[in-house]
Amino acid sequence: MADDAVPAGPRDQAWFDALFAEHARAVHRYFLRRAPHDDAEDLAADVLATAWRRRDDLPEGHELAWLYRTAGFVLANYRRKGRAIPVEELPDDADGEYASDPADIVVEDEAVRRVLAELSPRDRHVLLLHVWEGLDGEALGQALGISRGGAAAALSRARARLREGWDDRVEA
Amino acid sequence: MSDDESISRLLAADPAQGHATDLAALRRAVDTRLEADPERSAPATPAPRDELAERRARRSRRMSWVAGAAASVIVGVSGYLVGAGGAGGGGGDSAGGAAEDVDTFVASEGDEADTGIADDGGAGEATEQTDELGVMGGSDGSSGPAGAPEGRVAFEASGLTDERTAAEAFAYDATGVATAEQAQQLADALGVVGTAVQEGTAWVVADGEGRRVAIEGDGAATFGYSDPTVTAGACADVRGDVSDPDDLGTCEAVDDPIATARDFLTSVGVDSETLELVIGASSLGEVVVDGYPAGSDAAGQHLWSVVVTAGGVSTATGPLAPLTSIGSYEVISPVEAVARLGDSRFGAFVTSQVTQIVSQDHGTWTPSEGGTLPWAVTTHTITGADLVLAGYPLGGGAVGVLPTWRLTSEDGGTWSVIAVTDEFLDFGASGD
Repeated sequence: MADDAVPAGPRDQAWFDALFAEHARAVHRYFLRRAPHDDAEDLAADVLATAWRRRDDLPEGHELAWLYRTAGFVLANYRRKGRAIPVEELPDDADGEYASDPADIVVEDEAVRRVLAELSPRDRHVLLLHVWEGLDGEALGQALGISRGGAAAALSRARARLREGWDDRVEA
Repeated sequence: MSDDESISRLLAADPAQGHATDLAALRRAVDTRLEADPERSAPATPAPRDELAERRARRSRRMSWVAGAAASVIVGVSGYLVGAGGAGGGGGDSAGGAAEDVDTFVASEGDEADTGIADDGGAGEATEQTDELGVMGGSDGSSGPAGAPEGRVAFEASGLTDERTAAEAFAYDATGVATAEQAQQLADALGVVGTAVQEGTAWVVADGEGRRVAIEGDGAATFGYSDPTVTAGACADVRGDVSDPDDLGTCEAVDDPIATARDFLTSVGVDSETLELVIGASSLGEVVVDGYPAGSDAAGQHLWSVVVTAGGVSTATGPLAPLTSIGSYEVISPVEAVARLGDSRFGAFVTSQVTQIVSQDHGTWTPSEGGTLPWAVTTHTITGADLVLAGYPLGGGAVGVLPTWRLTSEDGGTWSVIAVTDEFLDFGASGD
């Protein structure tokens, strides 16, 4: 999922404006899905401000995946502190343990909500990035901070667990 | 149950569906966080702004469009006038040299300029550029009296030249443009069937379906057109809050809006070759086409604005009065311009608010009889100067488009002041 819309070249204000125009909405929606809606804008702003401060770190052509990864850290910080604060350095959240609190994933479909809650945080993390953010392959790996192959495997497991949980729910 | 069903149910349960993102608010939130940083966003390599040669080169590039355009019926900026103090121009002139009210005004209906305090340009939506030319029209929406918006201020020049130059000045000549006959002709050209009637100082032709053609009696003979039969409003309402920008819902896509705008301008007698047509801030089902002076690289203030929908042109506005050259005028140096910022006779105005607020340590003062009183003054160091054009009312509805120094300070503010030398300014002229 290469980001053709964000220009190569110097990471200046024009670059940031393009990054914002292209991806700000996606970052906001990430938080709409995983946190109380009132906080989503603040959390998104934290991620985008971090993108400017760390502008030299964003991998060219994979800016959105970096943004999602940073969003995961911001979300983890938010979950630990109970409010949105800027992220500096966070331990790598490979397990996705803090990625979201199921209670904040406000899904109206009760059956879906229950099945999601039963998944491990890790499975939930991978699955939602795939289903709601539409990430796959390389992009999913980058967003998770793991290899493409590792991401594919994690996704496959998560889908299987979702399916099992769904089948159990329906049969119950 | 299949994998597909669980996934599709999960997809359908997406909590973000139906929620729009307010990009402008989000951008403001981002900028607020960054403003607190010492390394505020800045261009990688700011170009030096006080090189005389560079200024001359830029000035001659910018002026060339105006010189060429003056030969044809061209249209200048409508209504972004300095010191007009109210719609319709001609107002706000002071008697006896008192400081003029430099509020900007919006001359015609549907004009999208803000009249509030100008942003520093960081907001996510399309904000006006505050530097580079073309801004015939002076400020981008700032308000407040000259120079003194924040109270106690002083200005000093740094690195600027004290050399004087010359520049061409222009004036709108709206004589004979805002008439019943002209309004009728334009209405006929656009198929608006009706008789011209006077509304205030404007001539208006309106038909039974709400289509309307108007020529204002202001100094730029501002043209206004609206056609409610082709607005995109209805389809946009139905769509509601969907946040996917590619989803038009029931709105039809607009086919080649620039060509449509160009054809429209030609029908009302505007030579669109003198304009650079650029797509501006657009929303669902409506594309805004802005016309900038040709050769200005779409910087500064646009002159015309044409909104195009699938059904055609829904609104349009711009000045009809021809811009004519009134010759070359001697222009003060940038150093002298900085001095003018402190002289309220010249009506200098804020073009863009200072972006970096330096908090002042006021300390504590204890009253003591006859002791000196702390009187903190904010000093803005002006390090950049660009010669541009801006519109000024000159009394009696006349509008001049005159050389103006646009001065930028180290702390991110921009002020503009008339650049013509004192010899050419008749301070004793009576107001409107």
